[in-house]
Amino acid sequence: MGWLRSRWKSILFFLFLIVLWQVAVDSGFLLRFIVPSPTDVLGEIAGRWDRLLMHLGYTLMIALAGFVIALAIGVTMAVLIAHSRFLAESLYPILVLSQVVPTIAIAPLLSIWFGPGEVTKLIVVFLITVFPIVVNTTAGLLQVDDDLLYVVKGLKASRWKIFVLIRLPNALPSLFAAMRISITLAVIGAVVAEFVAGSIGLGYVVFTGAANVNTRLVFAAVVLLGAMGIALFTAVKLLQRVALPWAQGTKEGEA
Amino acid sequence: MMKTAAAIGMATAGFALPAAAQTEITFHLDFLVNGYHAPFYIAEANGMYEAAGLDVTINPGRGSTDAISTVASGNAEIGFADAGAVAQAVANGAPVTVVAAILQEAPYGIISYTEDGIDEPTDLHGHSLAVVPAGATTQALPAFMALNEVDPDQVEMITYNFGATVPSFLSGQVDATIGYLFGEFLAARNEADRDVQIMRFYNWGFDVYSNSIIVNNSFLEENPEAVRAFVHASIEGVEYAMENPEEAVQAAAANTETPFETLLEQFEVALPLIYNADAEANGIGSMTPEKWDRTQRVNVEFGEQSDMVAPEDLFTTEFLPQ
Repeated sequence: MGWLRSRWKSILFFLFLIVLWQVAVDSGFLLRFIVPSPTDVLGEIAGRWDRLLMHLGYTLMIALAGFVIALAIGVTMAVLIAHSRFLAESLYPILVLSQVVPTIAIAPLLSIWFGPGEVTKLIVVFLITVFPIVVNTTAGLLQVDDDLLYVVKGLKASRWKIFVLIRLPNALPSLFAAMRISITLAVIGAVVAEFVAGSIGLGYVVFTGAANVNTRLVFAAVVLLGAMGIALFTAVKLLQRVALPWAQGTKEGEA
Repeated sequence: MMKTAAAIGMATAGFALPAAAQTEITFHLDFLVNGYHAPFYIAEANGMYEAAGLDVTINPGRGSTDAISTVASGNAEIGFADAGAVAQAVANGAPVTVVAAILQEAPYGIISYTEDGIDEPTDLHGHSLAVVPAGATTQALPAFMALNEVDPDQVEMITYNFGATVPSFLSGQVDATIGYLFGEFLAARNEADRDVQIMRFYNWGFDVYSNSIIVNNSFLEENPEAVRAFVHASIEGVEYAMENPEEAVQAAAANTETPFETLLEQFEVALPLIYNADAEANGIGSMTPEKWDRTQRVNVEFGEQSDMVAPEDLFTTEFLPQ
C-alpha cells in the first residue's frame, strides 16, 4: 500500500490518459477502426482470453528462452573478448556486422535455412538480444580500477583470480543494465520472428489482426505484449535488487 | 461366449499388427488462414487426410513467395501458392511442381474507391498504389501494367507490409491498394465509409490460374502415392466444404483469431473462383496446357519471368482424380 500511496500522482495521470483515449474514440474524434477505445480492447481481450493466453505463453517462452541463450553466449563472448586479443579481433567485427544487418531483413532467410519453427525464432531473438549483453559485460570486465589491479598484481594474483574476484563482480552492474535492455529486446525479437513464420504467438496475432484490418485484435495483442514487457523488465529490476544488494546505487529521481 | 472370444481375438490381433505408418506431410499455406483455406482444414479435421494415410500439419504462410521457398527448401513437402508466382520461381530453378489448380481464376486486383473512377488500368495514372513485393498480386503487377499500357512512372507505387495496405488505403495515405478479392477487398469494403471496388486482373488479360497445390520435387519422386492421396483428399475437402460451408469454415476458425463471420464471407466469395465453369466440367483443380501457357506467357512477355518453362517441368495432372 505504501508503494501505491507514494505513486498516486503518476497513477492518476495514467488513468487520465486512458479516460482521454476513451472519450476521443466515443466522440468520434478518433476513428474506431483505426484506434479502438480502451473498452473495445478490454472486451476483445476478455472475449478471447483463453486463446490470447495461449499465444502469450508461447511468446513469453520464446522471448525467455532466447534471452537465456543470449545471456549464456553473450557473457561467454564477453569473457573471451576481454581475455584474448585474437578472439577480440575476430569476434567483435562479426558481432557488429550481425547488428548492422537488420534482423527483420534476414529473418525470412533464416526461415528458409532453419525452417519456420522454433530454431529460427530463437536465432532471431538471440541476434536482437545479445549485443547489449556482450558490450556491457565486456566493458564491465575491463573497466576495473587500475590502482586496484596494480596492487593485486603486486600480490601475485593470477589472471583467473583477478577474473573471478575482481572483474566478474565489477561487471555485474553493467550486465544487469544490459539485461534490462535485452529482456525488452527479447520480446521484440519474439514478435519479429512470429511476423515472419509460424502460426502461434502474440506477434502472429498482431500480424493476423493487421492483415484482416481487425484493429481491435491488434490492440489487444499489443496491450498484452506491453504488459508482458513491463512485467519482465520489472522482474529483472527486482532480480538485481536481490542479487546485487551491494550495488544498488542512487534511486531514480534522487540523483 | 463365442462372440466374446471372437471379439477378444480380433482385438488382440489388432494390437499385434502394427498400423501402417502414416506419411507425415507439412502443408505450407500461401498466407494466414483465410476462408478459402476451409477445404483443407475440414479435410484435416474430419479425418479425410488420415483416411488417405496422411498425417498432415497445416501451417499458415507469409505470401506465395514464402510458401514456394518453404516447399523448395524441403521445409514443407507440399504448399499452396499462386500459379504465376510458381512459374516465375520454377523458371529461376525452384524444384517444385504444381499438381492441382484449386483457385481456377486469379483473385487479385487493384482496390480503390468507386468514386475515384479507377475502372480501367490506365486510370491508375496519377494515383498512388500500395504494393507488397512478397505477394502474388505485386508479382503480377509489372505484367498487368505492361499488358494494359499502364506507364509505371505515372503510378506512385509505395511498398507496404501485408497488414498495412488496407489501413493505409482506408485512412487515405494511398489512393489504391493491391489485394485479393476475398482478402483485402472484403476487409476494405467492410470498414470503408464509401463504396469500394476491385479491378480484377482476371478481367484485364489475366485469364490465368491462381493458388495451386505445389509439391517439392524430391518428395514427389519418392512418394507419388502420398501426393495422389493428398490431392484427392483435398478435393474431397472442397466438395465437403461446398455442401457444408459453415462446418468447414468452423474448422478453419479453430486455427486462427480471425472471426468466424469474416472467414465465412471470405469462403463464400472465393467459392465461385474454385468451382467455376471449368471446374464443374473438368473437375476441381483441373488444369489445361492452354491456360498454363497463358498463365506463364503473360509474365514472360510482359512481366518478370525470364523464360517459359516446359509444361512437364511445371505441372502435372496425373495426380488429379481421373
